[in-house]
Amino acid sequence: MSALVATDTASLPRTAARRQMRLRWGRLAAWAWLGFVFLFIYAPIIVVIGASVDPGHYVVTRAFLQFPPQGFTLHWYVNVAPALWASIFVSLKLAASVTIGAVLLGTPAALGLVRGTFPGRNLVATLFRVPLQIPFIVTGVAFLQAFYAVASVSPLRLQGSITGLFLAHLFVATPYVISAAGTALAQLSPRLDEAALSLGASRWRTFRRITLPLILPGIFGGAMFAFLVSFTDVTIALFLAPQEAITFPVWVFGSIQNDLETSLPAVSTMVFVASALIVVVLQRLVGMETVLRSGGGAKN
Amino acid sequence: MRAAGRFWGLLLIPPALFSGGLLLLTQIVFLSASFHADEGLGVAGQAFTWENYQQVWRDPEYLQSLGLTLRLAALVVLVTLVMTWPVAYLLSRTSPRIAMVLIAAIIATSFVTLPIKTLGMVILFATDGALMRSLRALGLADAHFRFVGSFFAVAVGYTHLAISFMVTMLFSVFQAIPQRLEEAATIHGATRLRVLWRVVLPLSLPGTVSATLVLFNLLTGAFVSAVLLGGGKILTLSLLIQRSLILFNEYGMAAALAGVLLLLVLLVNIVSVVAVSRLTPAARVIA
Amino acid sequence: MARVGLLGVSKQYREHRALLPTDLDIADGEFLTLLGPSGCGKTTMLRIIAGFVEPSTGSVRFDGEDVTRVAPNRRAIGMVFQDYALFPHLTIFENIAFGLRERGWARVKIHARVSELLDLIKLPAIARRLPAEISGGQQQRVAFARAIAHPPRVLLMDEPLGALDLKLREAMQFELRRLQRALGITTVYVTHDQTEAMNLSDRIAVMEAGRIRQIGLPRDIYDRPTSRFVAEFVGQINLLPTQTRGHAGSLAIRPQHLAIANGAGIPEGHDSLPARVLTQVFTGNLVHIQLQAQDTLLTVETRPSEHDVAEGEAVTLHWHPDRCIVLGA
Repeated sequence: MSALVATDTASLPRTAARRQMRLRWGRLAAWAWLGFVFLFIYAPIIVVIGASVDPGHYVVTRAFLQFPPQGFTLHWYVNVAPALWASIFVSLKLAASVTIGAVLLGTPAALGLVRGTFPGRNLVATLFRVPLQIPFIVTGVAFLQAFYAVASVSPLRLQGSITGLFLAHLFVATPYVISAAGTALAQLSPRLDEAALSLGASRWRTFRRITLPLILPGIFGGAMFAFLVSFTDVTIALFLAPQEAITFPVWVFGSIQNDLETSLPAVSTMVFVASALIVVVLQRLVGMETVLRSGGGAKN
Repeated sequence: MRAAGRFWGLLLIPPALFSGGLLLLTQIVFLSASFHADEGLGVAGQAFTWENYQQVWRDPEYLQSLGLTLRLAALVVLVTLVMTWPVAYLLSRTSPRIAMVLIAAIIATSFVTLPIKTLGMVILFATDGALMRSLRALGLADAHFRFVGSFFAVAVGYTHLAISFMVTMLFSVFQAIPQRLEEAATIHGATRLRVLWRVVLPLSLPGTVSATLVLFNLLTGAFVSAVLLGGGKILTLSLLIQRSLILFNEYGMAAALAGVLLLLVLLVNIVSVVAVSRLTPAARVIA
Repeated sequence: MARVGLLGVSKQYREHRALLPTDLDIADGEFLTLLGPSGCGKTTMLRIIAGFVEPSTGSVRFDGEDVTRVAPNRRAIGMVFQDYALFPHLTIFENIAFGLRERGWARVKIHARVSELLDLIKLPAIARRLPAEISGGQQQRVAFARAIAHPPRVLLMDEPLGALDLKLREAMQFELRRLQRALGITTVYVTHDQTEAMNLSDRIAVMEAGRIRQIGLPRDIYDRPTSRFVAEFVGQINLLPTQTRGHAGSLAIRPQHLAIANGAGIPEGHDSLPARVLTQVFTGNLVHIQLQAQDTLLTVETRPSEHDVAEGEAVTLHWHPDRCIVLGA
């Protein structure tokens, strides 16, 4: 440990000055690296935003967009294929339903996990984490095959139906709410409930007036991730979405593979702006720490 | 109040039935499907057989794909670690307000679905685009290099997926390490680098290892980037699964490949649990 | 205001016996303190009276009515917790009004009652604030006001002053005592601080390892402890091991009842013992002198002016035999 301590007291001022310099350069380097990483993360989005205003050059009848944009036009924002809007609408409806479902399933589950006393609690907790540990491709395949199996023994036709996709999305989204609500619950002191009871409140009133308001930020955080998972999912939707009503991500996926729809960058920009607004609103409502805890926790 | 505990436990029944039920149903069906041979045209054989799994082992295409998937995942994990470790650490040691804004900015990008980001990459690296032209002019890129269909493209796509995830995960890990420890070490005369090496690194190791393994799992199953950026030439395991199922209607084979992927994930999880428990004694003292 | 009666109440957890079968009677309006070290069962007993813990055996009665199976929210109790448990998302007003709203009081009545209580605890201006915005001492008083807003039959307090600093704690002790006396609510108080217990209580029940070792007036507990445990737990005590007719036991004397013989010699009728001075500790108005006698450490408490001894000095201790308590082992 002696190497850690400056032994030459005479050279201390110089060592200190050099240390300051090194610290400053080090900090600069660290922030530069951060800048680089952020650039890396945002580059594709910036490109998409930029391409959305590019007038595009035409090769025969097909338009190509490029970055940096060669001009400026809002043409693509105005002429959006109705099918594209339709797919966004489908995704929004689906994600909203999944979010509601995840909250309705996940909140009681979190309550049961945190407050319940029964053997095998750890097992049940693990059960609820498993959907997120299975790769989405496997989930997609498994659900599709399961739906076929169900179809062969019952009149239910879940494959290629929005209901089937809803079920699969609900399956992978609920753990986020459970984790977020669970974390919020675990941080509540049990004394609060006891205080409410001692004051004459019934178990239900205690839940409604004390517990629920205090875990609401956590639920919100989890709900946001549930929405996110459903709204951006490609892999599972590829296997399970109906042909007549494909989701937005699947639409984009297909468009990139086949016939690049030129209003795509414009629509994507609008989606991104809307998402940024949502994040800002959520940050105002529940604070970023809650959001962080909701998403990070579920992946463990 | 013991009755209260039981009451709360009852609440678990609907969600547990839903989750557990679907989990069991889907896993049983697909795993059992993997044990039936494909007889063509989407028909599955009646007999129980290991044939599909044996094929995975025997067929070089499958083995190559497995190797490629693992190599890709390992490479991207490494690159991501190098990129995000310093960033996450820096953010955890900055004022909370700035850190939160930056992290919010990262989370905002998660709302953008991956195909859109891929679109951005495709446009950015367009062969006749500004970037590629400059790179060729600088001699940094080969004249015949095509972004879409290259290993590089898929790796870049994967890295994108990985970074947002990893920054938030590592941020939580670093947040758990009290800054006071580093300050104490600095008072004793340690340089910043030494502090990082001897204090921060060991304490963040369990969390980092855990996050890395979760990321590895995520990447072995990644599908979208491979499809959109691989141009049909980078055949990861996930791609083969999709092809078997959708293109060839080989339900048995697809299930078997998915089963192999699942096995891989399980192995990694076990390694993760063992590794973290071995590494945790020091960190547990902090907690 | 109610009488509280516990009959044969015990609590057994799977590997741990928290409370042995205990009988306890608390008079209407009485301030009873459950005093003891951690793990002695005092909090368990309090929570059984509250209804948060179901006793393994026995019954709990309020005014003769069996409430053992009655839920806590229907026992008409008031409870103050160690961490106050104020609802963080509600204002002080709403915190205090909580129980009143739950019991269906009219808005006007609630308003009047909360204002009255805020005046009672001398904090009229904080009604609109949130718990996080007021100090610990203020939170404690709000917790008290909330507990008595709807006059409870029994007021239960679980180490409510533990988080306060010494000066504030002493001030609060007087406040609590004054308010309880004025309101006449039957109160059960849990603490491990024996000074607090002595200051506040009508009666003290000293507990150890799940049972009440001694119950009585503070004066009696102090002057006439019936066991070594109680003698040592309440106040300081000197213990001299003795043998009486083959039974091992102790002679117990409070430090302030021991004196060091000076030039005047030993008073008539006093017992005495030679000892050697070890150290002196000056505590403001008193001095504690530590001595060694017969392999035992003894403490003498006296005023600084009365004795001036040097370290290592050999002295003679003496005391009046009436002050000496004979205890079992």
